[in-house]
Amino acid sequence: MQADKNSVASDATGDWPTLLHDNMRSGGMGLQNAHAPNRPRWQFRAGRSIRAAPVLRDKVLYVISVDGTLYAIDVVTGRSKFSFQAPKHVHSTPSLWASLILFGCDDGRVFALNCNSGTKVWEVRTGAEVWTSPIVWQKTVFFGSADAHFYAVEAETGKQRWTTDLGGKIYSSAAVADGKLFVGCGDGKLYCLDASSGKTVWSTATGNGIDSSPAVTNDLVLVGSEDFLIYALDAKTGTVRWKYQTGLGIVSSPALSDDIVVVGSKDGFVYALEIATGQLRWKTQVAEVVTAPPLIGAGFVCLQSGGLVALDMASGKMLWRAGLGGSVQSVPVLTSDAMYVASLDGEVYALQ
Amino acid sequence: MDRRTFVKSTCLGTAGFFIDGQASTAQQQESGATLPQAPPIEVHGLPQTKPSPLGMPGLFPGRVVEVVDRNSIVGNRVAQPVIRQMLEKGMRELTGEPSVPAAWSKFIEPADIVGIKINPSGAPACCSSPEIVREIINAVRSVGVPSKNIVVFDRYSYEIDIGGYQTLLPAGIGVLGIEDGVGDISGYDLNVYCEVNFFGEWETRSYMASVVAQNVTKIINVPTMKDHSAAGVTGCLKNLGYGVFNNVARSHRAPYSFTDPLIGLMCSTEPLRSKSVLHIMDGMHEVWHGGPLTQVQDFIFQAGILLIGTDPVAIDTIELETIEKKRKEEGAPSIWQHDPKSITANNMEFFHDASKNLFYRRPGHVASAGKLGLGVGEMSKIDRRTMRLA
Repeated sequence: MQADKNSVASDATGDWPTLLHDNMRSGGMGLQNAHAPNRPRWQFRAGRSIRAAPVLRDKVLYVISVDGTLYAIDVVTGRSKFSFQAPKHVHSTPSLWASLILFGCDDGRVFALNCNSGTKVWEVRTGAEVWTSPIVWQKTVFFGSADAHFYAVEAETGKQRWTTDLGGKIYSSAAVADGKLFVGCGDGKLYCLDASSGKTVWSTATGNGIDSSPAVTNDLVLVGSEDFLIYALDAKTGTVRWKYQTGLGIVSSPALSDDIVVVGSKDGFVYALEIATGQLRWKTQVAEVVTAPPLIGAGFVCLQSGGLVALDMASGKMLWRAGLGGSVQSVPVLTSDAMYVASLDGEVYALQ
Repeated sequence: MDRRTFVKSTCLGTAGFFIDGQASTAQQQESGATLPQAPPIEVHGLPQTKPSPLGMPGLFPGRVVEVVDRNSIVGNRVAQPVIRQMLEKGMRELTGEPSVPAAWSKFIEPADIVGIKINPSGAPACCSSPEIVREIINAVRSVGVPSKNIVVFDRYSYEIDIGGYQTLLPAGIGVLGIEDGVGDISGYDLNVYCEVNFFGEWETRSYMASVVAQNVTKIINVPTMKDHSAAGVTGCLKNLGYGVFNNVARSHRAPYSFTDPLIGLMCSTEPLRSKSVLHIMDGMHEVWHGGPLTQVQDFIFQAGILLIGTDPVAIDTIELETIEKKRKEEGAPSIWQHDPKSITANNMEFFHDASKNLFYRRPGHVASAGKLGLGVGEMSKIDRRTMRLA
C-alpha cells in the first residue's frame, strides 16, 4: 500500500509531518540513525505540560503545550518564530500539509493555521474534544472526535465532505492507505472506512475500547486494545490474522520496521513481534507502565516512558536511557542529526 | 469531636473555623515512635451552604453492603455483566427498594448534575475500574439524568489518561482532570480552602475543586481498596478529601504525615460533605502493600468485592479491617505499626518489601472523621451486610 505523497516524510529532508511519522502511522520505519544523545543542542521551555508529539518540516519544529499554545521553533536556534494561542487545552498532535498546520482542540474545534505565520486559515467545529491527530489524504483532512463522529473536510477550506457516526468516543488517530481509513474507537471496534464516502467497509470488535492508533503495512492493520491484546487484521476484510496477549491494556500505538512490529503495554513491557505471525521476538520491561508509542530508528527502538529509552532492535536490550522526556503519549522526532523531544514537564529538547 | 478539639468562628466573616489538636489516634498505635500533633487547621467552606440530609453520613449511617463475586475479576479483567448484578443487588439491599431505579432515585434526581469521583492514581494496576464506572453511569442515566449532566473527574489529567477513561466511557459523558499540569490552580475555587502550615511550606492553603464547589449537585464516590503509605488506607474519605482539594502532598514529610486529621476535615467542608451522597468502593483489586501507586502484582489481591453505602467512615473501617487482615495473612506488619526500623527513604525498597514504609501510617484518620460526624467508625456499630454471589 502507498501512503499519500502530500504528507509522507521525505528521507532527504528528514521531515516528520504527522504523528508517528507518516500517513500509515509507521513510527519511523527505521529510516533514521541515531546514537545516545551526548548533550542538548538547545532546550526550549514551554512552561506548561506537553502531551502531544512534535512535528517537523523545513527546519521548524511545531510543539503544542496542553494549555493550547502552539510554538514554531527554529531548530537551528531553538527560538520560537511565532506562537498561536488556542482557546482551550490541546492534546492533539498537529499534522503538516502544504502550508497548513492542523490540530484539534478540547473545545471541539479543529484549526488550520498557516505554518509560516501562525495565522488562522479555517476552523471547523465538532461536538466534543478532538485529541486525535488529523491526517491528510488527497486534499482531505480526516479526524475523529470524542463526540463519536469521524469527519472529513476539505484541506484548503475546512468545508465538510462527510461525517460518520461511530459507536464510541474516538481518541485513536486514523491511518490511511489505498483510499481506506483505519481508526480505533471507544466502542472496542477497529473501523475501516472508505475515504471518499465515509461508509464503513468493515469493522472488527475487540474486547474493550481502542485508544491506540493503528499502523498499516502491506495487507495488515495492527492495533492495540484495552483488552490487553495487539491485533493484526487483514486490511481488506478485517479478519483477525493473529493476536497477542500482553499483561494489561494497550494504548501505545504500534511501530513498524520490515518484519517486526513493536508496541508498549501498560504492563510496563515493550513487545517486538513478527508482523507475519505474531510470534514474540523479545520483550523488555522499560518502566512500570508504558502508554506512549515507540518509534523505530536504524537498529533501535526509542520511546518516552518515564524518561527517554532506546532498545536494541534485534535483541530488545537497553542501549541507553536518559532521565528527561517523561510522557504519556508524546513521541520524539528523529532526524539524521538530532532527536527532538517534548516532555510532560513542559520542556522541549534538541538532543545531539 | 472529642474534648481536645475546639471550634471557633474566624474573623473573616465566613463559614471558616479552626480545629486544633484533633483527636490523637496515637492511642491506637501498637508501638514505636510518638507522632507529632497536627497544628491548627483553618477550614473555609462555601458560605451559605445549606447542609443536605443526603450528605455524609447520608441516608444510611453505619450501613455497608459488601457484595462478593469471585467471577467479577479474572486475570486482571473485570467482568462488566457480573458487576451489573453486584451493583443492582447491592443497591437494593442498601436502600430496601424492590427495584433498581427506585434504589438509585433515593440519591439522584433527573435534574441533578452528577459528579463521579474516581481514583485513577495507581492506574493501571489498581484504579477505579472503568467497567464499574460504566455501570454507575448507566444507572444514573436510568434515573433520567442526561449524559451531558454527568462528569467523571479527578485531580490529575495524566492519571486519567493512563487509566484510559476518556476512551472507555460512553460518548457524551464528561471526563475532567482538574489539573493539567504542575502548579495549575485554574480548576480550583479560591474561596473554599483549608489552611494550615505543617512543615513551613510556602503555600499553606489547599483549595477545593471548582467542579465540586460550583458545578455538580451530587457526587458518587468510587474509591479503590488500597493500602496507603501515609494515610494507612485510601478509601472513601481520602479519595474525596485528597482528590478534591489541591496541594495535599505537603501534609507528608517523611517519616511523618498529617493525613489524620486533614482528610476528615476536608471531607467535612461544605459543599463537599453535602454533595457526597453515595460511595461505591471498588474492591476488584485489593492492594495490601505499596499503595497508592504500586504496580507490583505480588501485593495486589484480586478480591472481587464492592462495598456500597452512604457512610464513608463505616466503609473505610471495613476496608481497614480487610487490608489489615490480608497483611496479617501475608506476614506483613500491621498498618498501625510505627516502628522506626520499618521506615525507608528508598521507594524501590518500599515497593518490593511489605515490611518497609515511607511514613508512619495514619489509619486513625478514619476514626477521626467519625468523630467529626461523618459516619460510624466502631465496627461493633456497623450494620455490615455481606452478599456472596459466587
